[in-house]
Amino acid sequence: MHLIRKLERSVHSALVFVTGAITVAIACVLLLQVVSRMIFKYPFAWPEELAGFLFTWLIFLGASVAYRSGSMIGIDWLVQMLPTRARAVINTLTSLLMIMLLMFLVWKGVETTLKSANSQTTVLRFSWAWVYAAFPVGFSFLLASITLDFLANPKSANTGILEDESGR
Amino acid sequence: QEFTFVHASLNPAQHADFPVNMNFVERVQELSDGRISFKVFDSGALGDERQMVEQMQSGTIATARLTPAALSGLCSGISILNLPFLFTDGQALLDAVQTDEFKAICDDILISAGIRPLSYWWMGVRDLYTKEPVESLEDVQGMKLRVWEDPYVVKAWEDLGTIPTPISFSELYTSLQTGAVDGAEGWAESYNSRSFYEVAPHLTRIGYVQIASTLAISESVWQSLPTDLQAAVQQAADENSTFALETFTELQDGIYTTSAKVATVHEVSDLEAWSARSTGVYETFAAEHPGAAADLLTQIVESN
Amino acid sequence: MEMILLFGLLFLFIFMGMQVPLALAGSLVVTLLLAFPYLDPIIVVQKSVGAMARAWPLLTIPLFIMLGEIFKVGRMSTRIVDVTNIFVGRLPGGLAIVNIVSSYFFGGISGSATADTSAIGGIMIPLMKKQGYSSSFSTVVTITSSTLGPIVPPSVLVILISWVTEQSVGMLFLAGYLPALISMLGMIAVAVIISKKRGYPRQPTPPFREAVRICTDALPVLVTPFIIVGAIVSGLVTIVESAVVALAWALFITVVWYREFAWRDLGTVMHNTVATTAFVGMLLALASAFAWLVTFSGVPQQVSDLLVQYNVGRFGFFAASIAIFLVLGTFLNAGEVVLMVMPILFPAALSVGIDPIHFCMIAALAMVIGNVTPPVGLCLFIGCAISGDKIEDLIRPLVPFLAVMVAVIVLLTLVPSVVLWLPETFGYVPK
Ligand code: NA
Ligand code: NA
Repeated sequence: MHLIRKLERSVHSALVFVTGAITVAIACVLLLQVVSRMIFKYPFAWPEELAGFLFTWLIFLGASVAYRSGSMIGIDWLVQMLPTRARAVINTLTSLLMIMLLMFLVWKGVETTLKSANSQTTVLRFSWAWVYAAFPVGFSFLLASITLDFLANPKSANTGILEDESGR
Repeated sequence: QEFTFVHASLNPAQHADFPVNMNFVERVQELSDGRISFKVFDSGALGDERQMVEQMQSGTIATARLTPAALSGLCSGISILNLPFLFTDGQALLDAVQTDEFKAICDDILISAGIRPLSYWWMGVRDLYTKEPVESLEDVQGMKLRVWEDPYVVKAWEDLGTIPTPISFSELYTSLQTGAVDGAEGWAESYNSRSFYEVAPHLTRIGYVQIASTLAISESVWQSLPTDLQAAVQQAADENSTFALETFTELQDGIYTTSAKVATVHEVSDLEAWSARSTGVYETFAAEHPGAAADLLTQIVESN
Repeated sequence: MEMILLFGLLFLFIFMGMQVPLALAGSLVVTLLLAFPYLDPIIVVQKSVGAMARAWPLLTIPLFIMLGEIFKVGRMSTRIVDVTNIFVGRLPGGLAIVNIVSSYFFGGISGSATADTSAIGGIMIPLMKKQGYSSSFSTVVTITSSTLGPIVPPSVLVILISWVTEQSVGMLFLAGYLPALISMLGMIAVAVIISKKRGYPRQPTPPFREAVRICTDALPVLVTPFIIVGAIVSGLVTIVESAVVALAWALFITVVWYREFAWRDLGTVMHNTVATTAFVGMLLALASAFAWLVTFSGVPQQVSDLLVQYNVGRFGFFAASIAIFLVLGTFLNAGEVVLMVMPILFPAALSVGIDPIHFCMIAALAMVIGNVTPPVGLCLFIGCAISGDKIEDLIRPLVPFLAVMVAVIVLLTLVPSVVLWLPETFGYVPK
């Protein structure tokens, strides 16, 4: 378990780096758009499409980053009011539902990706599969994080925040 | 067996193309003796055109009117319909889509991708509207124009000496107002209905693109229909193509009468010169689509 | 019937503690499987990815969030506070007013209320406490004034609203200035009355030369809102491009001009930007799939049919909508409310003859109130974390401020011209 946690932490850092790079890339693409219009008086058509492609990857790869940094917290005040036993049951149930849901979504995401392989984007003419792949890939990382948290602590809610960060 | 079809329209119910959609829907209901009924969604309620295409592939949407732009992702040859100054009028366009070459480069590919073209619409022509008057090719040199995002159309406007500028249609009014662009090309109907004349008071009739659309049915829905209903749907679609031609011909003349009341309508004296500048795009298209598509292009150019 | 299942499951999942994007996806998938066996659930993937890939105006979101993060790292908020102090500090309850006015200006740079709470609150709450303001009053002033952030442009919330309703971002942005200004004046009035009653101090005005020095030093920060809006209104760039210009400007002044940006800060900035953007994006992606099913079942049509049938009129519709926004806003975040109910309410609002921009602005004002009300109020949580107050202790002090905010909403509903005046000046034609 300890080793898997360590691995997950390295994957998380890698994802932060990659999504950060994507954000910078989006900014650069837009900057190029402005510069090309103002200086060269000659804007391009492809930045819009490329930026949309990058944005999709940013959102879905960023999903597990958002989860891990606690930005994606659920509403817990109602569950908190319940007695301890009931709270544990609800928390376990919720985690299991989320895991099943994410597995289903990843499966459907793969199916969509394969189906869209022969459909091309308007300007850059790359396959839509490259865009759709963001969904199953990103949700797989989220699935992995939530499953790990559930296995480590099946009775508590999934907040994504690792409380024992400093202890290790 | 009874069928409920979902028909999606990109435009709202007030739009000029909506009655043509409804003509098809109602005709199918009649010809099928009510065995096919419809749920109609307007205003792109189920998604933009690309998403409509996907939902037709999975059978969620049964029928819709789709633009060549939306279908070019599946079948790039359909862009031939957008080539500037290629078709002399609506009938020329409707003749071209009947040829075996066109069926080979478009219909067959679309069917294997899950979208079956039933018939084609002619929807009018695209003109030019600008802040400053345009009466010859010289007048547009160096103008920044909002151009629709088809790569061949963009290249054609570059060859015409303008600076095509990608701006989303919803920001066009403000962009014209602030001078971010000097003008735009498009259908004069939207020029009137979107009040673009307030910020770009000059409309120039160049009619450089014949606007085409495909009335299509989801292939999986088509295959689920018995043959008699397939025949009914096909008949309704064929009649609908004629209905569209009549409707839009009448509409197109009315549009200019309306425009003349709110803006200055110009004609260009050197339309030949404009058209001559577009041959570069034809060459690009032919090079990118060798075979049937290039042959069809040559045929049309020679017949003009 | 299907819709009762869909919304029932949604709220069940949310209150079970599921993250809202996943609750949206979960209720959608279960409803599709149970009630729509003829629909392929890959529509969930198609709609959510499709929404992200074609969402040109949404590209501004990571940029405006990053802009706010950069300004949080540097001493930008301190500069804004210092300048504001020169002009309004001498009024009774000086620091409270400085807090409120600073939020208006910081709102002109940052896109979100939470950025405002942490940036301005982080400086102002300790400062106010030191000057003898009660802790709860300091926190309440901070969090209520930070709701100006999403009303003053740029605003992530307004970008979302424009995306859902297909209204021009530029016009919606322009529509925000006056309502935010009026809210600000209302909050100042309340703060002055309370401060006078409790005898909170005025701030000494700094000597003239010092004041000039502070203003000169802060000049690059103060011009940032004008760069954002000026670039748009002048037609040099589009809204999306304005975000990147503003970001380049923010980087230039923090890194080159003030030299206050250490490269180790870059990690924090990027991490926070990605986490916030991804959360908003997930919400958007799955909400657009959710909205698709709502539309597919014909609910918006039924709602507007009902409205026509019962002939509620414009003000009846406004009253009902504001109530819905306020109630949902207390349980959900503003962005979540937009994505869930705007697709239903907006077309209905148009069908009873309400101006689209007017409706969007009133909706934004009503929804941001949810940021400060328990049980779910992001600004409230952040404010408490900074001051160390308990949420229960803030409820009573919040009341007068909430009353002002609701009064402003009522006023703006009755007088649409206040909202529409600026957009009209720049060419908007009201319905
Ligand atoms: Na703002
Ligand atoms: Na504040």
